[in-house]
Amino acid sequence: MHNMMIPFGPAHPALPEPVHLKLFLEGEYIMGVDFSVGYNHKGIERALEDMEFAKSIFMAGRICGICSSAHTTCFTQGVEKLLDVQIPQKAKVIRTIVFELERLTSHLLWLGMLGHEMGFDTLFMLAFREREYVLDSVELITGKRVVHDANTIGGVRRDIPPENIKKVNKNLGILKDKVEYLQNLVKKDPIIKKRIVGVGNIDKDDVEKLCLVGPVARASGVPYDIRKTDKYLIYNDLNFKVVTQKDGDCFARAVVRVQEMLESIRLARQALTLIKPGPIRNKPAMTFTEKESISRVEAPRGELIYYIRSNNTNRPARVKVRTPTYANLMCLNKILLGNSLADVPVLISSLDPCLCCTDRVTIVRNGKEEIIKLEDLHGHH
Amino acid sequence: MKLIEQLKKIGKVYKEGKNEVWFIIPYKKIRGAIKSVFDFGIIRITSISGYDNGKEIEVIYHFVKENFLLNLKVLISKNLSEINTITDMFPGAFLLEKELSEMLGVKIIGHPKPCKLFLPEDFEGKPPLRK
Repeated sequence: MHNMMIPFGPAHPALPEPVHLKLFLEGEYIMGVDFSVGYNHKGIERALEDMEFAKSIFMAGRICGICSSAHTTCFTQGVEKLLDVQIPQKAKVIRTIVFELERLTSHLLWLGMLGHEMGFDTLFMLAFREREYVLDSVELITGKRVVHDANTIGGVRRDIPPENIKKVNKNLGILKDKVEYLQNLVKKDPIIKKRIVGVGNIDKDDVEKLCLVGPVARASGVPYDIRKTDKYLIYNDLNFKVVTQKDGDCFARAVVRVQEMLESIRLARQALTLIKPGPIRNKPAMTFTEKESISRVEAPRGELIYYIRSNNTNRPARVKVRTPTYANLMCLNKILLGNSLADVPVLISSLDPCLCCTDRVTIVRNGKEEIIKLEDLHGHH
Repeated sequence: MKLIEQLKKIGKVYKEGKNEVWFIIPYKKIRGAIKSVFDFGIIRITSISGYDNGKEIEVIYHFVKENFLLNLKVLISKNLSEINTITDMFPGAFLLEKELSEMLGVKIIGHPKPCKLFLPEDFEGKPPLRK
């Protein structure tokens, strides 16, 4: 028996993500959760069908501003499979560097947001200050700070100027010390620990059953990382470890992400040493036949998967995107149940959600939910 | 792999690649095929893709085990447009099935909560991704 239902979002001051939660409370504690998404659904999958392949990369890169490069890498990788084209080694190296730098920006942004949600705005400021080093480095490589558009079918669009390699390396050197400081802060600060240790637990079985991905899965001890399993781009030649934790709580997810940042710095620096002169693009003949392909990458939030289908035209017949947050939404019920209302923003931000999604108007009358249609609302004037 | 041999008896391989196999499974046998995937110990469904090819709706289930991707395709006639849920075996398919249902108008029989996911609940008209 629930005694209260509190609507939370989609525009809540404590959670700037377009998700609407219905929290069923007993006193302070959450006894049931229902969520709805769709407030930001842009119909990109359908829009992609009307675009030529060469143009659709730019659309794919705009599905998400933070993991733009993950989307373009995944999309181009899928299209390259359709065309049966191999990309030059140098293009692979550049893609990997941008990919890892993007993971750094995403995790730093997340760390800042976590600090902000728990009222620790100093952490927010620190994380965003250090994030500038990464954005500057990305700009040195791709010419852009946020939505990079570095990839194209058959390779990358821009070569790294040799003098910039040194600058990026220097930036990453400075960043390493800064991230180590942040790691220490997250692991030892009593305020952070009080707020996030032992809350929002997800166990290993649930991770597998609900098909959770990315740092959320790894924080519960499931070493699911597409970089290791699929070995796409040049991840096979690089030395890195998959960071896992056992506890599966908010704290474990924080530790996983902070340690992953250090791994990303290592990866990016290793990849910088592998840059050898050579071509950056194999320009393929853009003739498509009836084919289908599937492509996966490890985006900052977890496994991102594209299903691409072509027909005899130069436009995709179908593109299906399964983003990591889409998969991770399944665990909202698990992490919120039994926790207090005040912990909701922190718990949700520990998933690092990136929602793109429409909703309905519901009212609860005598314990029954009723869907109110637009005409009914008009009728109440 | 034992599972592949088992699936070959039910359906047909139409494409093979590095670490991936694509099967086409007759509509009536899809439940049995997915049951054998489940019994084999694959617990992760990574995506469900749907495509309207003009004549039929193609539904592809993408299962994953480490680096191996198993794709099972089933063709559903547009007149019938329904398929059984797999959430009883793969709870991770909950949202994926909802999306398939609203975007391509495939009715999911036995889905625990068959409401809309992205579209407004009072959305009327043909499913957006139907041709």
